[in-house]
Amino acid sequence: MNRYIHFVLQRPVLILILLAILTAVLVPGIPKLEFDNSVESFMPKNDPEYIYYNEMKKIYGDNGRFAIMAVSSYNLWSAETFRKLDLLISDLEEYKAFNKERETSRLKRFDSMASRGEIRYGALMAAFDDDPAFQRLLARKTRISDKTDLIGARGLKKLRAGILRSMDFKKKEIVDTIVSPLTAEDIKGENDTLETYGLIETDDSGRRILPSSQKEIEEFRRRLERNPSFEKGLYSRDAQTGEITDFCVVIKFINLDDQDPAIREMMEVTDSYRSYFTIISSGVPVVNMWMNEYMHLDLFRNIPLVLLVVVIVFYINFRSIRGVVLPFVTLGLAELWILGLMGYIGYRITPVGVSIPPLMIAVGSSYAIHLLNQYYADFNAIMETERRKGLYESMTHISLTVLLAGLTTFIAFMTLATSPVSAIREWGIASAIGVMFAVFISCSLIPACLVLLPGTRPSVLFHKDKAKKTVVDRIIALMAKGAIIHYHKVLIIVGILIVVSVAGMTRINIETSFMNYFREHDPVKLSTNVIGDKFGGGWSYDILIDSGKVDGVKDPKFLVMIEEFRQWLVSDANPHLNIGRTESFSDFIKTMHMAMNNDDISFFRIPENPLDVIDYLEIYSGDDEDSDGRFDEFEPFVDIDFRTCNLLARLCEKEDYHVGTTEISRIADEIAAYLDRTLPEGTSYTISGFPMMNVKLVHYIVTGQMQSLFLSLLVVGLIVALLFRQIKAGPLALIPMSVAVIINFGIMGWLHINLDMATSVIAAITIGIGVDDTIHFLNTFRQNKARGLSIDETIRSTLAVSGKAILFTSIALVFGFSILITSNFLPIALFGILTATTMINTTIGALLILPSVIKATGTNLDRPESGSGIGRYLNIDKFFGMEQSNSEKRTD
Amino acid sequence: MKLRFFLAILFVLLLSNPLFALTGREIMEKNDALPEAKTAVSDVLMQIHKGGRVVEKQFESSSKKSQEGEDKMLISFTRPTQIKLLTHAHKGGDDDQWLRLSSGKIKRIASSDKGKPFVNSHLYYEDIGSRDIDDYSYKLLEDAKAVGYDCYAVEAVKESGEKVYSKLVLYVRKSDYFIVRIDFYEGNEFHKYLENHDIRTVDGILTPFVSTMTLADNKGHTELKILKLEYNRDLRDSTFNKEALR
Repeated sequence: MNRYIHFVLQRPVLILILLAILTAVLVPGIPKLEFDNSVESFMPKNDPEYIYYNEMKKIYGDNGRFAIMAVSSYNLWSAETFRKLDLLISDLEEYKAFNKERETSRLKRFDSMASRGEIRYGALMAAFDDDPAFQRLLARKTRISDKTDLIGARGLKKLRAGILRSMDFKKKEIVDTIVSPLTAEDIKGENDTLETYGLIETDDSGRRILPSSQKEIEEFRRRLERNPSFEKGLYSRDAQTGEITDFCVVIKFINLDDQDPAIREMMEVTDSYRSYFTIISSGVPVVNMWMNEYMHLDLFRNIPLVLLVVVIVFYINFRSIRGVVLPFVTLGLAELWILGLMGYIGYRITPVGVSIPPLMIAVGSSYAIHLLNQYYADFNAIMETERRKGLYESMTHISLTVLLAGLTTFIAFMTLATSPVSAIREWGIASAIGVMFAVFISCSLIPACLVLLPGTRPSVLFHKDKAKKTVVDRIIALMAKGAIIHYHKVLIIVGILIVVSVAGMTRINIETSFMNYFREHDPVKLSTNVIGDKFGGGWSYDILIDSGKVDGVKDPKFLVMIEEFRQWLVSDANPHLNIGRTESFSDFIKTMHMAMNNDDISFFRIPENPLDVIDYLEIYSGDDEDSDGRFDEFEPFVDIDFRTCNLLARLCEKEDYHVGTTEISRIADEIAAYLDRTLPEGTSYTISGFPMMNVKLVHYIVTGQMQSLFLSLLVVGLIVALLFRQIKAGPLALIPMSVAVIINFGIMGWLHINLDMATSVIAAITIGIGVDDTIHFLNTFRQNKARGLSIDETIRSTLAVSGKAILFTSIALVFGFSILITSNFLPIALFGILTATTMINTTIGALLILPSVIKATGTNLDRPESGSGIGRYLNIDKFFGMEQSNSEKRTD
Repeated sequence: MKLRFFLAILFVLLLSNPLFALTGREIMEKNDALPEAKTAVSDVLMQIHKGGRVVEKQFESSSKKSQEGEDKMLISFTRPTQIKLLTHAHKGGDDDQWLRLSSGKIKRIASSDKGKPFVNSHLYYEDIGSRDIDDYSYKLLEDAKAVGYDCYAVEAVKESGEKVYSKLVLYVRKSDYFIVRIDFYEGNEFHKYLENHDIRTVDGILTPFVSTMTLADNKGHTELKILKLEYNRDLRDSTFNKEALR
């Protein structure tokens, strides 16, 4: 380290050029960064439930995650409504069946138009008069500003990129099924004729023949209302008037790990019809999309604000431009480098990964502040000797401590590289590398700039201006007094706080309710409630009931049992189950039975005769596109052996609370208890589906974060024990972080803040800042102690230098992250509150509790414990030159 | 009008070698002129290959050429169900089809459902019944080889009634004008094909003992095997009455 600092001071310009080159190389990686909140990224591949879930999806498709829309207009029963709805459905259908010839020809024609370099929007649209679907796509993809004017080369390039992106989705045929009144089929048996028919018929070319006259529209309404299973499936009624008010459009995707890009494309399509329709969208992909949007936009919109506040606090502290610019550039570069590197190596920003930018701000500013603080502390000494030599003396000492803190954090985070959860693994590696980037940048940029910049005396030189005490000085003095004189009281208060916090910890609720993340009147929340009321919910359990034998699902007794189970699920007597609608294979049998009995509604039930069910399945007229032995309509509901029935139970919020992960588990337990009671011998069941995976996902994120926290604490304790060659240094080092963690969790418990996906990421900040504060304090303490000072003097002088830097950093970060409290998105606001709390806690831990413990125990860190095995065999401290630094005579 | 047993594809023609270039229509007329039976009774094993599984069904097929020159056919399943399908083929119009379920309920199959799968097989209701030579227009394509035979390839487009397939390509064996393969097109897409194998002469009538309908993407096929066959047995007309289904 010493040699590196020497090199930096000798070749500052080279170092700055090197930093600039590295920045130029890494920054282009940032646009490659992708956001990802997929289940895939959080699930260990060997999780049995996850394996089952994937196997289930292969058999039945991805039924739990769908986009669901309530589509209404001021005049629902009009020809215009059907025309518009047909256009909407047709646009969506382009993503269901790829027409290579058509798409290639479209692109070719567009390219030929675009080859002119620029074109008027109107002329472009006119060129595709014969292809209205592509016209609509062009309208969706064209920027608003280009719609009124000439589209230039840049606009055309962007438009082409949009067309290609859309074509890519179409090529993948991302849409598996579209459920809507225009695409639904039914069976009727009137006039002694059995007929499968589309609610809307098609002509020879496959175009839908839309109802246009009032008579045709009435006939369509009659068809829609004829089958009872269509209510809440294809349409919804007004609870008071009983009138049909909305049509339902459901988009089910093919098995996609990440539905986010797909749903954005679909939303772009539906949004283009909002001028005519009122469209209320919900469902897992839609809510996830908004959550991603809110989370990331809010976080990245607020980060500059956080930085601004940090910078202001830096200025108030240092009253010097370099005191502001250097830490700011350090943390900025650390941020850019790690995000760029993540983009290059294909790491994604996951719900855990969003903590990386604030983590970089925290550690980046901390390292930079420590270096600058040392510079100001040693300013007079530096000025009195030869500049480079003075800077060398000052920087080598502090850089070493920064390196130690960085390396400890690096190793702590790196332990997560073994996590079976890819998101946690990537987070661990990225954070570890990011921390080392921050160390490298701060130890390079700051000494290099300081040697190049004129040695201007700062307007406020804290360490020498005894007459003018700042707030920071007063706090430090208070801490020193507390630790040296009132350490008993401090420890008693801490003890009480810990007891209270531990009591609070027992009240912590490990629960993630995504809906609670949105404000009360947020459109996402309102839409989800509306969809729950109208269509029974936006996501569903897959409840698989195994009959125990091939063709067992065809047994009327089994089907009757399924029907009774369905009634129990949606019964008014069981509102706490929050199941708004169920779908099952039995619906088809009931529909067939009704059709075979001249459409008599009283036959909308399971037939008693087993041969009837077998016959109905023989004569059922459906398509079997993949020729797997099941009609396409049956695929979500039965396996190819007709042994297992998959019942889809939509989750909604019947009672006035939001269904979170605890609630999902509770409902599943209650369903399990019912099935245990009622299923006959030989049958079995499994409750799966996206809600259950969501419970697992949150479990893995939260436990992953907690495990990482405790594993990191353990690693930090071990490393510090090795570095200081004293076993007791390990537990000592854990004091600030442990206190911070316990108090944090205590606050969360008492304030009913759930430990969830968002609040658990706070662990990273605790480690990042906690390690830093602790190492700085302990190393400075040891160096001061080695100078022969008493414990009281050592504590006082340690607090005066490193304590001040720790406090500067903390104050800046506390104010900075407090800005997030104003966020509209609850997880971000909570993240802000808890980060600020962590800062305060770790600071108090390092500056008051740690020295109080040292004082109370009389701990000496200036020499290795006699007989310490660690010290004898692992001379890590030598490797870092700590022995040398121990013997160094400090000038301050 | 040609009598068809269960697939309506057994157009048979007298053995003759054409001296002159024939048109598509002429080739089909030769096929149409092949010897035929007045009645046929057969036991058929149906093996449906889907999703790696084989489902077996068995039925008895009875068919008779009516006095009016129209064909009637009754398919009675013996396992796993007791469904019956009665078809009355009409010249120049859609066939009538009725289903009788095991429970005795009878329903007519709407013409719009003719393009739907028959008992979950790869055959449509449309395939169960006869095809009248005059219902189609023909175009001779380039000669082709099918099922190992040199064939005429004739494109046939239905001109009357419900149009389930956009076109058929019939592969007529040059040696005897017997159809050995049919390609079925839906829209612009080649959807499935039927091949006749194990073609024997029974009572002077060319008869395929194995017919296989295969999806164009080879994802599944249905095989029909004649287990027992008898031509020209005395069958009463009432056997084919709708009322007799009850």
